Amino acid sequence: MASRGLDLLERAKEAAATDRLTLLQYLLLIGFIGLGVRFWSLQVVQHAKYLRAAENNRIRLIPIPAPRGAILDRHGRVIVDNRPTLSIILNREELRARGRKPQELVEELIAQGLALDRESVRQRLEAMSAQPAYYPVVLKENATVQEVAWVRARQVEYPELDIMEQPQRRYPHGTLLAHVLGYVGEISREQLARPEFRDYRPGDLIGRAGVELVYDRLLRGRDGYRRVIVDSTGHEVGEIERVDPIPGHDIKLTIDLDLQRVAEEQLGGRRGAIVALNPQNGEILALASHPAYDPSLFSQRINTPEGRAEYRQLLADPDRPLYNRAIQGIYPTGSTWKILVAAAALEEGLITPEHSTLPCGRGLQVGNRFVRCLGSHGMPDLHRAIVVSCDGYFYRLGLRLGIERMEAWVKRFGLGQRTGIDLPDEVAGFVPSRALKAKFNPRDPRWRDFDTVIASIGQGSVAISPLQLVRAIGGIAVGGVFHTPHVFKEALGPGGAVYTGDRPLIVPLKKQTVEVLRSAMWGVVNEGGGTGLAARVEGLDVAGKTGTAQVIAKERATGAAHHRDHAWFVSFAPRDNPQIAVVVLIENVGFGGRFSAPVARALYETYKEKYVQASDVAAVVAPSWRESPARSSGSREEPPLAAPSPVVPEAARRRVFVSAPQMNRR
Amino acid sequence: MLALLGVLEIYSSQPQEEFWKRQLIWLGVALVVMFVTATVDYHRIVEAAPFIYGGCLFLLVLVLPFGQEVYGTKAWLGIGRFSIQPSEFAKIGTILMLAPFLAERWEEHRREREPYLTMRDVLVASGIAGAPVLLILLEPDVGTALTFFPILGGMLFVAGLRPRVIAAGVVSVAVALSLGWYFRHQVLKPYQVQRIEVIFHPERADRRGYGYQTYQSMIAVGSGGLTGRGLFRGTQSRLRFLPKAYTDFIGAVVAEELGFVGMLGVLVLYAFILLRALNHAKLARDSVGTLLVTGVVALLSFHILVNLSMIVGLVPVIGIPLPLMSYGGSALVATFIGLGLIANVRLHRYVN
Repeated sequence: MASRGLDLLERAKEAAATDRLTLLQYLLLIGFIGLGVRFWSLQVVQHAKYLRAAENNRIRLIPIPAPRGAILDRHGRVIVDNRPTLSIILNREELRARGRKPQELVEELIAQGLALDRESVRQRLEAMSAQPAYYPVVLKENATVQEVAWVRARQVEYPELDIMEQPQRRYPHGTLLAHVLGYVGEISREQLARPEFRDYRPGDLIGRAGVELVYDRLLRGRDGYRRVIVDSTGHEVGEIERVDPIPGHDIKLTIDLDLQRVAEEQLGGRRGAIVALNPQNGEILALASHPAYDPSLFSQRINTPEGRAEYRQLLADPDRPLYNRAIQGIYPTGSTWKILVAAAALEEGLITPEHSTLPCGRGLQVGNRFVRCLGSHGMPDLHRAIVVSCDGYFYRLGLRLGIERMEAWVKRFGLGQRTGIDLPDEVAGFVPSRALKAKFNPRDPRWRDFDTVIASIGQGSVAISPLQLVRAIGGIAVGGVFHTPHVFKEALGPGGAVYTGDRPLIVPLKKQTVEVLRSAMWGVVNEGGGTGLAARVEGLDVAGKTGTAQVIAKERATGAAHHRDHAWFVSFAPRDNPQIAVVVLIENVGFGGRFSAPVARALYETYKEKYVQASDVAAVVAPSWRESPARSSGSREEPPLAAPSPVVPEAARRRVFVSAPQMNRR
Repeated sequence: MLALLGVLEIYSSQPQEEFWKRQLIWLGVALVVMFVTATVDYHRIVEAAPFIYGGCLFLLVLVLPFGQEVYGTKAWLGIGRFSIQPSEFAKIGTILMLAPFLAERWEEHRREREPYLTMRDVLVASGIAGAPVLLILLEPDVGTALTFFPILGGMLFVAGLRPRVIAAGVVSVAVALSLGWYFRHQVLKPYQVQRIEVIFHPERADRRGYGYQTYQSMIAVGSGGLTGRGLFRGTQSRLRFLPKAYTDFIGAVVAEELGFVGMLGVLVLYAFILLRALNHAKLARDSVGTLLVTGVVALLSFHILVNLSMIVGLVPVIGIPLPLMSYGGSALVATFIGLGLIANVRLHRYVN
């Protein structure tokens, strides 16, 4: 009975558990039925209401491009800044939700009279296809007021179109300083594929040349965006989120706008280059190259048929306007080279200031050839030989020095190698050497005395850039410190930077070498018979050297325009404490003293007016060189191996070379 | 099938990201794990319960100093490219721990002709469930912590509770809820209050506020209509109105894209799984089996009912994923372990 009772109880308990499970099943069923009813109520009964809510409920992302930093001259005057423009953008998500294809829409818009550029729109759509659809595609930048009004008026028909504000590069001075500034353009597909551009998107503007390229990271800032709710007709009904853009850094260059303007005016319509720099610290005050181009082409018109035609024209122009002659052009230096030969000979002790006379001889017989001097100078000493630019003297001095020592010395002065300027695509050039001749002249690979003789006056296989020459002469004038030329002074604002890329070559020269050369170059400009009298400036001790570089062997010259000589003038001032060095090169005009020296004078006049009469030379230019490492680092010949500069790290510079636009190399 | 639909909808809501691929990988892992848990006799699994439970607690402790923080909650442990969420596994661990304990008490009481659990049993059981709850609250993850209560409640209920204890429980929950609501501004964080208030006035939701999610979810569901907008055509989710459309709000994506018909299918499938599981519970060979199934069913049904109620605006937003469909590897694997256990109890329902 007891066991039976237990059994019953047990069964009752089992039953109770089963009942409880059944109860749970019913509860669950009720829960699911309740949910089903709720879904019915929302989805079927109230469907219309929620459908309307969904239609009025679209989010769009509208980018707010960060304004690119302005570029200022050394006194803070604007060279490049931005102006607001409006762009028509396409919201691809909205378009897809309406079941339409972008290409189809573009055709329709063009048919309706909106002037879109098929080619660039196609490229952009293609580039953006890998990006999330909520990133809009720019259909047309620089939209006119009428075009914006057109789009706004058709918001209902084309809810996928939007207007975005976009700052665009503005060049108040036109083509001024174009080669230094460079230009901006849309990032290329090749660049996007590389890891260092990971944080860029298709359509982003990026510096493609000049300062815009080298200092892109400082200039570009960071884009912001707005996330807005728009209704089914594209009207904005609210803003969900706004991330303000971080503007790029404004950059101050070492360029002096006044000197730059004078330099470009002086070149006028002639092909050539001018560089003015401070030899005490490498700061470039002016850098001009003519012919130039209009950088606004790339930021404003490149996506129009006219703009592309203009660009093709630039590429096809035989005068190569895109090419920066000051750093990419390499030329024989003519007689300006004599300063370098003289410096080497003085340092080697081949001549001394007291014993430096050599015959002119109206030239020199070398083997079976007679190499002429342009004048008859008797037995000049070094000073006089430089003042009157006696070739005969230097033929003999060059032979004494010999090609090996000449090569070694000019290389120490930084020639035939890149100066390390913070601009892309600098060209190294060549200095004469046995190896060079053997390489480029396989028919007559042996170095002969004749080669040494013409090398002594900067002809033959000399091919260096104007920038290299002015750096070398300026460096000798300040006693043998060859600073890295640069155009970047500082990036303004929080997190800014100053130029730290100076890696000077230091070749301590004897005091008397420097004295003799300074005084001889002063004589060129200020003494009777001097070849550079046209550069004389009242109240400023300008010292210089003319050069007239033959483009082709005299025997073969036809008198055609492009066979005429290049006119050089390289100089510095004031003589006893050089603060500015200027090189002028004008292609195919004739004598350096006649064509280039007056150009330099114009620059010195402006310089004197600005800096000397205001007696603030020291305040403006001098302080920076006192701190320069060159002065304190003693007499090492090799540049100090300092840590890579944060401003132009080596890697960035290398990138510059690989990513440089093709058009600059031909 | 539900899980595959989940993957599809994750793809639909986050097409350009790698979510759906990962989910597929996890699904593969989960299926293997389920097969294993279904075939090994559940008694052997239950024997290992203290270790599994202990291991879960250890991971929960580990997550506090080493976890990855996502949305302010430190719930994830990173292992290589994948990360796991120990709290999901702790749910299974707790069920495995509670089942043998309650079953033993049940058998003992049965011998003593005592139909109900004693107060002491209830307290010990609460302790077992309480430990992970406390650790999870420290992460802090209130939503996940809440899911332990239905597990405990369901298992206690089936193991036998005195009617007056049940009544007391119901009353105290009701009192706690109303007190909590009265003092909501003291007890809850502002966003939590917003999430609750939106239930009553969805249209008034602040567009930038937390309640907005619920309203957006309701719009998504409502705009789906009878037959839906079609797969991959839901504007709500694709245009990013729905936050976390691939996890907690995956149900809303289904509702938007497949409509009432699709949703009804989903509901029927879930109901079928759960009700059938409870039938297995009735047929189980012993009380351990019954209780295991009950625990898993309680866990899953709480998740399903609360999550779906959440997307239709019946309960506030708490971070509870929809089993089988939401993105999340740990939850998926844990769910499949649970389903494996149910299958296991069914497979071993005959005494040898």
